Amino acid sequence: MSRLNLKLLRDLAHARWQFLAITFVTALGVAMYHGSMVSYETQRASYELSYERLAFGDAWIPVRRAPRAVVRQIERMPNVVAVEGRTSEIVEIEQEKPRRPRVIGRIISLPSGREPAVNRLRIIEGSPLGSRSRRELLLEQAFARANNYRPGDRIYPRFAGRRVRFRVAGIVSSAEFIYPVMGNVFSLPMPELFGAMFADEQVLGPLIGLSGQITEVCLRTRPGSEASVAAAVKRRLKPYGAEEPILRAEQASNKLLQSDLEGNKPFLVIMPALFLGSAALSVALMLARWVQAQRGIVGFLRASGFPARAILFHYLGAGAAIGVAGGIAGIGMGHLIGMWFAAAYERVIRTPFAAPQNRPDLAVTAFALAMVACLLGGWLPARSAARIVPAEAMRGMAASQPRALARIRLPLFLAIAVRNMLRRPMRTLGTASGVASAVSLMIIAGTFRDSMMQAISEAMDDFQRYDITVAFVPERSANIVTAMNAWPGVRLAEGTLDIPVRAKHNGREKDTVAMGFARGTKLRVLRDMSGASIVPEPGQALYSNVLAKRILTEPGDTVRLDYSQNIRGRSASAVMKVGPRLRLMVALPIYMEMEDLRRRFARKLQMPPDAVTGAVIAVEPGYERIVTSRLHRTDGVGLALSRADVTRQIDEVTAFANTFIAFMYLLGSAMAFAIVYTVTDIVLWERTRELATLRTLGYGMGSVLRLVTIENIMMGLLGSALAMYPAYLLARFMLEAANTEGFTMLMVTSPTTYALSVASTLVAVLAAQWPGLRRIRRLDLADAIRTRE
Amino acid sequence: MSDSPLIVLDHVSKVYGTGEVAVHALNDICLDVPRGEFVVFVGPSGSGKTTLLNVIGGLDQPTSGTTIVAGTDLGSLNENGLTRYRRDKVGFVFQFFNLVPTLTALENVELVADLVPDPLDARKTLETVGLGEHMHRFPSALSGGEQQRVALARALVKRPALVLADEPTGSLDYETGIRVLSVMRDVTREMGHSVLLVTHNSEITRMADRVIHLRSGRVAEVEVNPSPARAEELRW
Repeated sequence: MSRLNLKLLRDLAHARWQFLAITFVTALGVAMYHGSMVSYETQRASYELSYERLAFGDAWIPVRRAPRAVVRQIERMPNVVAVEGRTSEIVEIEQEKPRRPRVIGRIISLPSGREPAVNRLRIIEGSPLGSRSRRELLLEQAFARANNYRPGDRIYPRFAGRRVRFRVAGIVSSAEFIYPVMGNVFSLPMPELFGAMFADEQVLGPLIGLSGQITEVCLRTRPGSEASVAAAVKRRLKPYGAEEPILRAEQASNKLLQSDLEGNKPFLVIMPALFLGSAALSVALMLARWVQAQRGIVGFLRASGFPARAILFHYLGAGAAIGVAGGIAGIGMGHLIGMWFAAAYERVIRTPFAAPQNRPDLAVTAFALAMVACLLGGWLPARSAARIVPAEAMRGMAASQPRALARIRLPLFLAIAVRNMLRRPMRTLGTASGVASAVSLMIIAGTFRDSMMQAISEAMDDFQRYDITVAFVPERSANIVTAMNAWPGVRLAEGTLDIPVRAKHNGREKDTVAMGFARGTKLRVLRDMSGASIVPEPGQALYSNVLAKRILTEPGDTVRLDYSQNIRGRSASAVMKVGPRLRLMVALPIYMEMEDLRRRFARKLQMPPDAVTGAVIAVEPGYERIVTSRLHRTDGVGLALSRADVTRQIDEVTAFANTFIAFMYLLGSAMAFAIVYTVTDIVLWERTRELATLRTLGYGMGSVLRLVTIENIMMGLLGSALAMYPAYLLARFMLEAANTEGFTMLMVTSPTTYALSVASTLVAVLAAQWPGLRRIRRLDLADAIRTRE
Repeated sequence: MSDSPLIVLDHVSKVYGTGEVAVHALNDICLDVPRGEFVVFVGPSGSGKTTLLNVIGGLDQPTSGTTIVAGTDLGSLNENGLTRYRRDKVGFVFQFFNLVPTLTALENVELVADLVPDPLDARKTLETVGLGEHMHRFPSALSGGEQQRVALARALVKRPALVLADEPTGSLDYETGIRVLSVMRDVTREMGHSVLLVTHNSEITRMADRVIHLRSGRVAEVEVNPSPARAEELRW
């Protein structure tokens, strides 16, 4: 090894804590990138693998009812790869104790004696459906898991008001229900309350009055021809009441999965960029100090004949060493983080087939990013070292003049601190930027938490002032709600009306649900973006920013709403005026005035004139279980959901987000400490002589501590101030990216988050200066003050 | 060895700054220095000693004039050429040693030995300057005089034609200074090196073969010393 490289290694060993701190930050950046990428690619690959192996459909075309024979005709159409006809019905499900008495299910037919050509199932427990004479079904695994079903258990779907006993033959996973939601207008997975199940077509057909008939055609097509083939199939099925096709991109589960993946993308870039940017900054600060401290040596080396590029590579070597160490450590950590992310996600979303991605290209990219960051960080100081003119280096540095501002009269120690910061403004700015990146990360993490808590709190405590939500299957007259108002323990019950619609505007469309909202409603509140209470006027449609962006409407535009289901064989539509935007956590519903919705839709669909599809109920304290229990025994009640149920579902869905936020905060704090330690230690190294001189003059360690603390606190505060605006912008960008149709948050950063982030940083500053101060206390004063600056 | 002078300075001037703030560090210096001599530049602060040394060492370019060292016209060299010149022909010793603190004495010498194809043996060079027993110590474990002797060994290990020493005893006490000068004188004489030493200490001129007095950037006087004193005879 050349002596110059040996010097480099020894320099690194000498500054080992700084080296380790910066390597740690680099490793975190690499780990964040590698871990997120591994997790992202694993999810993506798992979906693709599952879709491929289970022949996931490219398009679904619902029909009112069609003869099964039509499937043969569709098979012969151009670009159709595979086709399957089936029935798909929403039904009430009764369950044995101790399970929830009544939930909702989608029961889907399977062809007799063969696997479906499209949308196959993977049996993960039990067996396929057996003899047609037995009433057996297969349960989707999320529902089975949430309700603790095993093969052999009994389950009771209701058909036309009649409860039918089925045996659970097996537990399956399905590409259509990886994200287990009921349909396109639902976004919150509630596996305990909704389940998909699959039964033999010859068993199911007679029960739903559709023997030899189908209500849905599923297609696999040649790549790129999905839309045209689906449109052609729709035309072919027109005589049978064909609906608008649902392409794979709009399929409920797939859409939410893709939305999740898309929402994660900014994190793949921003988080690693924050860490690696900070690592680069730390490398720059450390090397700048080295170059400053070794100016005389560099001068000698140049005088002795070392070429400038040797000096350049020598100092770049320090950056490279950190890049290599951080890169390797980060890839290892990233692998663990990736596995942890994937496992945490898997607890919420289970894919039929897993495709773990241990891709060398991701590791190589992560490593390259570490190298690039550290070499970029090292570039400026290394270049300045290479440009040192030997003769000038031998003469020593002229003391820079304090700026005019530094002449402002201040108490002595404050003046020293201010002048030190102003003496090298770029260095000060660099140091403060390092602190700022750490503060930013903590503010971003805090903002995510604040925004989520605010959204949930608004939804649960302000928008929803009821204790129980009820869904009727099918819709009922409002008399049932009137009756509920007389039940013991019911404080107030109000009817709700939800009608699935497709919102259309200027060629853009979105499946959603129109919800009736009556003037005088006490149990629900709608708020506009400013937070003011708002009620829809007749003819007016109110909805959130998210839907407005999907269909590109502005307040004052008109939007067309079409009834989007085929179960009645009737159609209804309305053109509504778009009102002010709503503030909603679940971001897709459209609110209309209740009577308006009944007039424009319910009556045309032959619902009762005072139709309700559900109710919301406020109960007296202590009555929630009693009323819920009574609801479960009430005919027509498909689902009764208590506040505790909803809270639990939200907790389950947000658990992953909470873990991620806590992890981000932890990393932010670790990065804050590492950066602050590095920069503080560097500052103390630079000032060793000055501080030793003060001690020699008679100042005690207490005074030195005060001086250093004042300056470091000022640096911490400057860094915190610098962090505020970039943190706000980054948090806003990331929050917008993370908002999905399923869960939308308005950005909220509480004063506590700001205070906590700044306070954590200041604590890190105080802790980080400790090793340097200990070194100064142990200094050989005589030697220190002799050392040439 | 050729009889031509090792160093030829022809009307060399060095001006820092311009206009009213221009400082003439060197002012029209003409000078020949023969090979193999121990030459001392002496003069008060600001007389141009270090600037002259830097010009001869290829660390600084004169504003005007010609500098020829060992047959090489330094004015004709670009940055790379000057680097090669310094690497191949010049050894430096500075007042503040400038040893690499994270390398041992031996490694500091080897650091420079790595630069040239045919260096002296680093261990032997250290033994020559009297540091055979301390070669594995780091600079922080060496006294000032020992550190300066490491610096001297580092300058010599390349077999330079010329050793340039800028105030080599400036940071040392009397006894250590004498020891360093003694080693420097003996070793360079033994190895046949030319030495140019800059000092403001006029006592050191007694050990020189040639003394060049500088004043205000000009050569005030050139003194040839027919019988140089031994370092041990110097007193200050």
